[in-house]
Amino acid sequence: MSNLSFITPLALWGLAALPIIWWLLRFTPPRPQSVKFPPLRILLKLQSKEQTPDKTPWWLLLLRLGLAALLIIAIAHPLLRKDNSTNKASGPLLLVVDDGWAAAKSWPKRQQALQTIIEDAREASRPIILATTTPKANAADYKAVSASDALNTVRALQPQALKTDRLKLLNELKAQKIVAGSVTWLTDELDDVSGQNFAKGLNQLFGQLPTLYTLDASDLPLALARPKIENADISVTALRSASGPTKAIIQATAGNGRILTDVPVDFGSATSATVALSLPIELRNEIQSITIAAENNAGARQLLDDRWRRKTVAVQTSTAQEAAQPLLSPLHYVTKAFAPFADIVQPQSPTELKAALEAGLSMLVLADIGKMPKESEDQITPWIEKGGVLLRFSGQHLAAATDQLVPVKLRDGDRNLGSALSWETPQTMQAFAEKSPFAGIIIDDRVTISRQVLAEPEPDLADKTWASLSDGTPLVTAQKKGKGLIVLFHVTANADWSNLPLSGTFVEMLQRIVDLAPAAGSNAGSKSNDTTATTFSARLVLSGTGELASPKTTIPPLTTTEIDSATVSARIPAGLYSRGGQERAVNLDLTAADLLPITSLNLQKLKPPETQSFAPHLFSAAAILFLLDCLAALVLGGAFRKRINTSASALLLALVLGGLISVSKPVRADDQSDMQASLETHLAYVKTNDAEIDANSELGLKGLGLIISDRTSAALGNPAGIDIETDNLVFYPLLYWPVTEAAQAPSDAALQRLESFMKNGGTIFFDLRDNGGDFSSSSSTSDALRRILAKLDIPPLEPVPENHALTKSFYLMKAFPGRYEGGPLWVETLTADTTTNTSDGVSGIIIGSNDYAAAWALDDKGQPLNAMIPGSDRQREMAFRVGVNIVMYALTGNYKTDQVHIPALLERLGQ
Amino acid sequence: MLSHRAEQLTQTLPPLLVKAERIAATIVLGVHGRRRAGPGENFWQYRNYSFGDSTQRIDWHRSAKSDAIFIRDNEWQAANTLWLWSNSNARMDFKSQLGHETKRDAAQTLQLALASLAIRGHERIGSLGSPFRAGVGKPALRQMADWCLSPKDTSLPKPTVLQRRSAAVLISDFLDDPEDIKKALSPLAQSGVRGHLIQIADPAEETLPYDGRVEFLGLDVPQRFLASKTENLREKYMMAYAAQREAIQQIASRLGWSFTLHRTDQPLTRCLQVLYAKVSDQ
Repeated sequence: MSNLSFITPLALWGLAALPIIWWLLRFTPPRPQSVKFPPLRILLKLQSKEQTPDKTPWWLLLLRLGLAALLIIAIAHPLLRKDNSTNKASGPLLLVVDDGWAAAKSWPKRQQALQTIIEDAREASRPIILATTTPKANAADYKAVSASDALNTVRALQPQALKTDRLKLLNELKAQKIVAGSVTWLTDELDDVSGQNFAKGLNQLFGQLPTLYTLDASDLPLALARPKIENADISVTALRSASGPTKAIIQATAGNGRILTDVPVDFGSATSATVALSLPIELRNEIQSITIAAENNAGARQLLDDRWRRKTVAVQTSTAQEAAQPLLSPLHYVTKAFAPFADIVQPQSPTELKAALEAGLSMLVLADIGKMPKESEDQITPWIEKGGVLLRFSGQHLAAATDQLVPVKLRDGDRNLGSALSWETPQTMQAFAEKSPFAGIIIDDRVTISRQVLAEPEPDLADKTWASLSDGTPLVTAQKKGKGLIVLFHVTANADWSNLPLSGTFVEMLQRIVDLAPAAGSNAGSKSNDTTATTFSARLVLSGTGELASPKTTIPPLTTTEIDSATVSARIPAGLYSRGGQERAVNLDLTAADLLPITSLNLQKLKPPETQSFAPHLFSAAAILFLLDCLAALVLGGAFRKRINTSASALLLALVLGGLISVSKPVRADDQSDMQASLETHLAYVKTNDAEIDANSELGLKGLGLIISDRTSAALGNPAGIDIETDNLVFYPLLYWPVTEAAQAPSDAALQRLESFMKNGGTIFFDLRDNGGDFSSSSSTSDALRRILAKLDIPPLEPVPENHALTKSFYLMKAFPGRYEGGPLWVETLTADTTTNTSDGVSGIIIGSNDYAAAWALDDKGQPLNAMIPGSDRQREMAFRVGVNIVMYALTGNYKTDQVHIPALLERLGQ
Repeated sequence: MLSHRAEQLTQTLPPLLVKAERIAATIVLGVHGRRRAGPGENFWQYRNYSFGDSTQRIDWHRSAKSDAIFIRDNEWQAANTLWLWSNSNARMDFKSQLGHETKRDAAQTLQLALASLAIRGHERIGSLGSPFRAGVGKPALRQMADWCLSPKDTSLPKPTVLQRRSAAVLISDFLDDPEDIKKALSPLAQSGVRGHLIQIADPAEETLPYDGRVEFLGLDVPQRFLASKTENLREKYMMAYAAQREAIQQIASRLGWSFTLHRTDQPLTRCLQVLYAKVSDQ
C-alpha cells in the first residue's frame, strides 16, 4: 500500500489561482523588441492589416501555466509513502517502546516511526496501549487510549537515562491483565537476554510474537564503560554492538563544556576499545564527563566526580626513611594507600614544602612530627585556612610534645593497651557515626589498637571525633580551621601502635579524607569542607540524550552509604550529587553484555516507511521550464536572429563558459611557481643528489646574483633549483649544472626538454668542478658529462676563441678562472650557420671545469665561503667577472660582437 | 572637431579651383571668369577706344603698334556663393547595426567638407536658413560649423530666395512627404539656383533588417508602430521606400537639380568624389 500525502496541503489552494494566471498571461503578449526607426512615416503608411497578435502563443501559455502549477505543487511538498505494514490484526495495539539510553541517539527517527505506527492504527481505528520499557518510579497504568491521545503522549515522550527493564514491564502487563490484538515493539535492538525473554513472555501473554520495529544498523548506539585509572591516565573503554559503527571520538569535557581532549577510537571488528586520556593533572581535575562525540545518549557519557580528581599529597616524617626496611617506614602504608588516587610528593626540606604548598597542595600528611619548626607552621597555617587538609599521625614525637596544629588538646604521653603493665586488652574500633565522613565504611574486625595518644576531655570532643575505639576514646579527630581541616590519627601511620594501617579499612578512611581535600592546584579554596551536611542531593542529572540538566525536586537526598551503592534507577537518576563540597557521580553502569544485539529473535521486522519526496523533482522541473520560458522570451524577442550582443546573453554565455572552464581545468599546483619563475629573471641550477653540491650551487648563484645586481642593470631573483626530470626549464636563461662523478644521463623526456631548451636560446653551463681538468681530456667528471650528453644533439665544441662574445660581453677577459685556475671554457664552434639560428649565435652549451659556484658562493654577510685555489683576491674577482660575462652572454646574446656597434665604440674610444 | 574632420576629408581631393578656372560661370567653386569684360585681373580682349572710355584705360603698348587706340579689357571675375544646408533634426540621429555613423554625422561632415573645398577655391559659402551672411575663408567655415551644431528641429530648409546663379547643396535623408519637399525646394529653384540634393540613408532604412515582433518608435514624432512579423512586412516596406526615393529623384530632375545618394555604410569620400564628378561635368 502506498499513499500520496502533502506536507503543506494548504499550498494546493494556489492551484485555484491558475485560471487567473492563464487570463493574465493570455493578454500579456511577450514584450516586443523595441527599435528606433526614422522612416516610421513610411511604415505607418503601410498599415498592414495583419496587426499584432495581442495574445500569447498557446504553447508559451501552456509552458507558463505548467511552471506555475509545478511550483504550487512543489511548495505543497508531495510525499509518496510506501507503507509495508502487513499486520492487519484488530483489537487494541500494544505499542512497546524501548526508551532507555540506547534509544536516545535516534530518538527523532523513533518518534517519527511511532507516529507512523499510530497513524496506521488510527486508520484501522484501533486503540493503542503505549508501554515503555524503562523502569518507572510509580507503577504505570496501561490503558488503551485513542490514537490522537497516543500521538500526544508520543510527542512528549523522551528517552530516559536508564537501562530498559523489559521483564518488569512484562510482569506489570501480566499483573494488569492487558488484552491486545497485536504487539508492536519499537526496540533499541540491544540486550540479548532480556530481549529474547521479553519476546517469549509476550508470546505467552498474547499468543503471538511482537512485530519488531527496527532501524538502521548505523543507529545502534555506542556506550562507555566505567573509566579506570591506569598508570596515572584515565582509561576509558568504549563499547559497541557487533554491527554498530566502528569509529568514534572520545572527548573529555570540563564542567563549562570546554573540550579538554579528544581521542579517536577505532573498534575494528572488536566490540570494545580502550583508550587512555592522558592529560596534565590540572586539566584532568577539570574533567566533568567523558563522552563519545555525536553519540547523544546517556550511555555514552560517564560523569567523573571528586574521586577522579587527582590530589597532590605531601608526606613528611621526622625519622629518616630507611630504604632497607621500607615496611617499617612511618609513611610506607600511607603512600601505598594514597597512590591510586593522588600524586605523592615527599618534601625533604622546608623550602621544598613551601614550594609544594604554593603549587596548590591538596593534603599534607605529617607522620609523627610533634613540633614543627616555627617557619613551617607559619606556612602551613594560612594554607589550611585556605582549604588545605592537614593529616597527622601520632607517634613518639607527637606524644612528647605538640604544636598548635592539632584538632584536640592532647594529654602528654600515650596510652598503652595490652602491654605488660596494662590489664586492658588491645581495643577494637567502634562503628562509624552517621555524620562522620567515614560513615558506611565497614570496619575490619581484626583491627586492634594497642597504643594511642589521648585527647583531653573537652565539651566539643565528641563533635570533633570521626572515629573512636570501642571504649569511646577518640581514634580520629578533626577540626575545621578556616576552610581547611586538621585531622589527627591517634595512632601511628605504620604498624607500630596498631594494625589499622595493615587493613583495607585504613585505605578507605584515607580515601574519604582525600575526598575532602581540594583538588590539586585549586587551593584558592572554592570548596568548603562542610562536613555538617549529611546527605547528598542531586546537583545535575543526566537526560536520556546525555545532557546534564537541573534535577527535579522529587529526587530524594541520599546518604553517604546510599550514594556509594547507588545504581541508576527511576528513583535515583544518573547525575552528579553533591554534599557540601563533595561530589559523587552516579553513572549508568554499562557492560559489554548490555550492548549485545538481539540476535536470534526470528521476528517480523518492520522497516520505517520509505517516503519519497517529489518536491526536489518538481522544483527542478520548474527550473527547467523557467529556463525554457526564458529561451522562448528571447526567441520571441528576436534575440537569436542577430548576433548575440545583448549584455545579458553575453553574461549568460560567460557564466556557462566560465563554469565549463572551471570544471574542465583544475588549477594546477605548480601554476604558482611558474608564475613566480616567469615574473622575474632567475638563474637556475640543476639539483644533483648531493646536498653539499646543491647548497654550493645555490649559494654560488645567489652570490653571483648579488654581484650582477651591484654592477649591471640586470636584476636577478633568487636562484632556482631545478629537478631536471620534472621541472619546467622555459623560464630560465641560464642553467648551471655541476657535474658529479655519479651523474647519470637523464631520462629521454628530460633530454628532449634540454634539447628544446638549448634550441630555443637557453644556455646550459656545465661545470666539471675538477682542478686542472679539461673537457677534452678524460676524467671521472668529464666521463659523467659525456654520459649526460651522449644522447643530446650537441654541435661541435671548441675552447672559447679570441674575440668570442664571452670575452667581452661585460668585462674584457682572457682566461676564465673559477675556484681553480687554468681549465678552459668550451663553447659551440661559431659557424655561419650558428650565428643565424634562433639562438642568435649564443652557444647553447658552455663547459667549464673550474668549480665556479664555489668561487661565487657568499655567506649572508657577503663574505666568500670557499678558499680559492691557488688563491688570490684577484682570482676571485676574475671568477666573478667570468660569471657576469656568462650571465650577460646568456641574457644579451652576441650584440657585443655585432659589427654594427663598432663605429660607436670607436667614437667613444676616440673621446 | 567636426570642421577639422571635414577639412581632413578634403585633403584627398585636388583643389577644385583648377577645374573651376576652365569652366566659367558654373555653379561651384573658384573665382570664375564670367566670359566677358569686367573688373578682373586676367586679360580678356583689346577693343577700340570709344568715346566715354577713360583715357587711363588705354593700353599704350598695343596702341603704339598700330594706329588705332586700344583699350585693354580684363575678364570680369566674381566669386560665386555656395549655399549649404543639412538636415539636423532628431530623425538624423540614427545609426543601425549596419551603418558606420549616424546620419547626422554623415550629413554634417559632408556639408563641411564641401564648404571647406569651396573656401579653398575662394568661393563664398553660406548656411541656408542661418541668419549669417555668406562669407569667405576660414571664419565662414567656422561659423558654418557652429551653425551646424546648433540644434534645429525642421527637417526641410526654409523657403528662401537666393541670389541668381548661386548654388545650393541640400543634404538630408528626405524622408518627409514628397509634397512638402517640393514645396520647400520650389522657391529655391525659382530663383535660378542650381541645386544638389544629397540623400543620406542608413542601410537599415533601406532593407528593414528586423524579424519577429518589433515595435518601431519614431525619432522625431512620438508615434510607434508594432509589427508582429516584420519579415512579412519587409517587401512592402522596401517598395514604399523605393517609391519615396523615386519621388525625391523626380522632384530633383523636375527642378533640374542633381540627386546623389550616400549610405552611411559607405565612405564619405566616395560621395564627395561623386559630387566632385558632377560638379566637374557642368
